[in-house]
Amino acid sequence: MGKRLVGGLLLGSWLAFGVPAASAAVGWPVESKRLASAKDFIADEQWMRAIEVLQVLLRDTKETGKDEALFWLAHSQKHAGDAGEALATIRRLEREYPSSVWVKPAGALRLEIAVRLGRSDLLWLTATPPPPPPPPPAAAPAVAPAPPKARPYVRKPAPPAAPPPPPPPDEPAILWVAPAAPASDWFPPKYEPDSDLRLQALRHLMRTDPDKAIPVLKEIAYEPGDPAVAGRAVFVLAQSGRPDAREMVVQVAQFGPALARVAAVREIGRFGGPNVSQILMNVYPKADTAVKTQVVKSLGERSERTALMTIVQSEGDRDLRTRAILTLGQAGGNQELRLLYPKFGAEFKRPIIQGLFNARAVDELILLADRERDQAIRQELYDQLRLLGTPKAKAYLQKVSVKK
Amino acid sequence: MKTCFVQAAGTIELYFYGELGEQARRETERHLHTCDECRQALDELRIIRAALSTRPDVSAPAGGDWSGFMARLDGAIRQEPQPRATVAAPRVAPVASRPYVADIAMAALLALVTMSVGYIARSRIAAGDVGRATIAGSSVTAPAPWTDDEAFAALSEQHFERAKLVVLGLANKQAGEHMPSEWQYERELSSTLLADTRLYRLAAEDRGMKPLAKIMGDLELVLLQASLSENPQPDTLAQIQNLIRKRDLVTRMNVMAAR
Repeated sequence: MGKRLVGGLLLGSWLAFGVPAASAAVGWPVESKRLASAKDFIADEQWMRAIEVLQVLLRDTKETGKDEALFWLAHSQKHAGDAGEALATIRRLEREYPSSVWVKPAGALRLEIAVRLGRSDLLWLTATPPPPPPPPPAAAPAVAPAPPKARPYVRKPAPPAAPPPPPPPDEPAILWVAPAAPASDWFPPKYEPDSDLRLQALRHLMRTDPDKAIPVLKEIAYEPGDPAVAGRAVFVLAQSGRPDAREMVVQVAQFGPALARVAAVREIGRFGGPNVSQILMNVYPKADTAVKTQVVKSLGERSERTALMTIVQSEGDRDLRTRAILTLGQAGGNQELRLLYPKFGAEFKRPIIQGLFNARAVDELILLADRERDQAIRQELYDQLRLLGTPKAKAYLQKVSVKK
Repeated sequence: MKTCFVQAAGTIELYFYGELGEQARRETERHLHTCDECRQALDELRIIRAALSTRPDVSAPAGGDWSGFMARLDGAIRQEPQPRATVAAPRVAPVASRPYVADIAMAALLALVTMSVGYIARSRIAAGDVGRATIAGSSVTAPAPWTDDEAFAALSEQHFERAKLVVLGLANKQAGEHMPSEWQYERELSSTLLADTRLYRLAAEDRGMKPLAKIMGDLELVLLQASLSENPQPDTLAQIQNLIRKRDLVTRMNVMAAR
């Protein structure tokens, strides 16, 4: 214990004193002591003290890292319930440090404030931002200018602002804000939200204006590019719990671009309700390997043994069939695997044995070991029984070794 | 959720630490050829080992005498009410009425139990006796069709499993002792996880899952700082580690996943 105490003290001293000294020695930019102190208060959720320290930091002309300090100030002000000040701080960050990496997370913070104030108009501005103004025409163009490139999305008319929802009970009420402030007070002149911010806005708009939000989400899911973004768009659709949104997820699973289809199948697998297996089986026949693999995985997570057995019996692709067999075992399909065993040759008997092992199906493994004539496969059955190591398996192996 | 019996029983860990007998090692190797889940578990152990490789060893009690620790552990277990795992409760129970202190105690107990189980398993299981190791594992779970909330809780659990690798890596990293490419990889991973974490946090808030939303929020802050730190400055790293420690993030993610 003494050794540990000393070790802890040494580590603490190193963290407290050694790190800044070491970093100064090697020339790393040392983080401001005030910023470190403010973050310490933030880690303790002492918002007012963090705000005080950060405001002193921002007034000091010698301090660096003010863009980060502005983000943490806005973060602390939001948590302290001062949405108006938080918005002002975010706008200052965007104005003074437009290319800072902290601008994007500050934008996410702003959207959360807009949600709490029920400013759907601002959320729509983020979800479907207006296209940038066309460049000014050249004085005397030699050739006709090319038509403008099609935008991936078009701004739709913003619906009227909905009344603000009541704040969650565990958060402080907003102390001051200008609810009617125009969008120009909220956003920089060139407001270009990325996909993540658009999705964050759409997530809320799915609750207030789903008929308009669903097509935009579908558009994002179908956009080429980052598959993770498509996956998040499908997630937002699926999480809404609305039948029409879920229908859209099914459509994406059937007809969407390849990577969005995988994400959609994954979300369908998480739907509640009794007919999910049927939906997944409808997607399966026309799917590519990646989508089929996800269907098998989703069926396994739901322990849909009948559907998995159907795939094992009908799938022609060796790898997919093997995967379905193993998944059936993980889903506890002892009886199903035992029934399938005699129908296949050695190629698929091995995965079935593995599947039965995953299902801890000692009885079935013993039964198959008794009946199996191929010595190599029988040995594999023995190996799996040994690995399971239950009393029954041990007794059986003992009996077999005595017979030998 | 571990679905493979071999992994659930801890055999992959024993294999990783070279604590299996010759025959068991061969059987496990054969199993690894066919089981994606176990291969993934093995890969994760290797990542963790790489992350921890620069950390000093924590010394065991003098003379290897764990009796004091075990006595305290037994005492803690005796004071604990009946195990929660046997109660058919919702996956994410409302905890608004639960005192904060109880959560901390639960987290500490879980950490103690995890440590002790790991220690006992590794010290008591004789090399080659895979049977005993595997029989100690939990049974294969066969989830019934779930509700939306249960599905969301399961999704969060999977997310925590992924995020834990990053958080553990950050918590154990020493400034200046890693390659820039390594840090770049962690930043990218943090950035990807950050976008998902924010969506999950907002979804948890919508569903009224406050404890889950709170952990997601804390995770979001850690990932945000990691993803925006261009080079691993010691101060920045120390701040991230401070946040992880003060918010008790790893333990709370474990507790949430265990519900």
